[in-house]
Amino acid sequence: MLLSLLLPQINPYMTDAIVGVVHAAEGAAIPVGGKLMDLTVDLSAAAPHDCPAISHFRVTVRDRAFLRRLDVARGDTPRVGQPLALFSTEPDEPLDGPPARAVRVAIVGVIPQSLWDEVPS
Amino acid sequence: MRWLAADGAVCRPGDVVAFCNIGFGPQEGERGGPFADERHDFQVALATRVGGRLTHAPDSSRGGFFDTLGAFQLWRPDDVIGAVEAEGAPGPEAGELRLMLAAGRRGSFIIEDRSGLMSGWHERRRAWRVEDDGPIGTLLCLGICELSGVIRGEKFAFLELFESIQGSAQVVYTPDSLVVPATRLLAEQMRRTPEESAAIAADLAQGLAGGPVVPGPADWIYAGVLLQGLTASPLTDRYNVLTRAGLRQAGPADAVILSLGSEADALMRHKRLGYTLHCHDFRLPEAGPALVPWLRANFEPVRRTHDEIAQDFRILAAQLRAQNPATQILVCNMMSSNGDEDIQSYIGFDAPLGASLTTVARKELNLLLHDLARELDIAIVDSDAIAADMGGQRSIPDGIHQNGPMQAELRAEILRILRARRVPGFG
Repeated sequence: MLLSLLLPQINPYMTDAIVGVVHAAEGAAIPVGGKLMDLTVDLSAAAPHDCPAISHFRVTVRDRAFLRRLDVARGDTPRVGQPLALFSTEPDEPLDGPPARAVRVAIVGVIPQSLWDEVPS
Repeated sequence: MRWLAADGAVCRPGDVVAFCNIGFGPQEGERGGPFADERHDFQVALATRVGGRLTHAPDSSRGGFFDTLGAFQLWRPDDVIGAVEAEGAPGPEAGELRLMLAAGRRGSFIIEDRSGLMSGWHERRRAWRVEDDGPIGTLLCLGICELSGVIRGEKFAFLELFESIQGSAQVVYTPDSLVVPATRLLAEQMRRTPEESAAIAADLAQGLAGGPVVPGPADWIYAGVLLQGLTASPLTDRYNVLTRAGLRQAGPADAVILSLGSEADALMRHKRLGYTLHCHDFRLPEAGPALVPWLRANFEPVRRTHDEIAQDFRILAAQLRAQNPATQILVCNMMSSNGDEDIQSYIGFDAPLGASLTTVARKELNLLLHDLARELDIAIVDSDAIAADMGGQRSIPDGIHQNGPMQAELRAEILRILRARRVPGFG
């Protein structure tokens, strides 16, 4: 069974997200709760403000599934509803059929690495 | 004078209907005097005591520079600027306007914006209304952006706050334009000697001017704001307060409100001089091409445990209460839940969870604040509970920036705390 993952509407005002670290590789078996990728939602463009409304999230998978195809890479900016990845419940299942349903995920707010952490000591 | 309510408009009792910029004579203004560093943005907001239909007096507003500069019309207490067709029988003081005075201290005198009431970029802005001889209570806000709208209100001029204050009170707001007011940094500001400030200034000037990249305008402006923020000490400020009866003094602050969101676990420390710097991450890329390398070369990250953050609160509270034993400390906690999160497994997150999960980190800090509140008699402004009650997604979708109704609720909560703790002027 194929399972799709589209960029969800995490925030009612977002139109897209920035892909950060992708934690899983194509072909990998993802355990229940396994991390898939980090996303940044930046509302600055929609609502310019000196203190930008930027939120950071991690997408974890709530199905036991195999990551068969990644549609995005780090730095990409998919729009809401655009495909992020395709999963299957069997490791070698053909990918030519339509997804049976969306993969179940949890979208969790995470603390980003501080830019200051990159300061050389 | 500039009208905020149109001729013929119906106003409520207490509405600010007009404001004016005022200047001072040469002795009080240009040559020093009590408002020397605020003289370019000194304003009076005028509120009616009664409600009804407002009529502007002819020639009350003259337009152009006559309305933005303080040099073309003398202040006379008995001037008539308009009339209110009051409903019912007005009292004996109905014809006298209530005055809220406001002053902004610019980072530089060249930064001018007289477009409105309390407009412009100020490194400190304050407003006060004093109508009796009682003590003047001062609330100093040293929070991050989450407190800006709560304290300054929808029109950025403290109007909503003063609508609910009846006593003689002053509200002071210091923005986190660049330097974020973490407790460790605030305590250092209070202790900093003029010699230490001079050393910081000299080091910054030499580093910026002597580096491999020629500083551009962005570098200089950023460095100026940085230096101003580091060498200021808002918690020891005293204030001159102009009233109808003359000049009075207030401060240091009777109550201080801080943001728990300022207490990042990672701060920066100057490698040679040892002082603390805390800036929002999003500010770093905005520094100019000469300043970014200087910051990276001269500062090192310092991580704080929760015990160390608690100790920073203890040190700051001790310093504040050594200065004034009655100082009330309020801290706004953080929204710590997300209704959309449905975590069923934590294997996707590194331990400790407080270092990677936003909601866990905020809950842990909120708990720390509860312990400190008991130990240090700190009042918690429970933004977490208010947000949950009002609906997080609706009221504070990114966990920091609230909508107007939530800001109003937080404002009311702050005033309730100040009254309960009998802060002068707010009771």
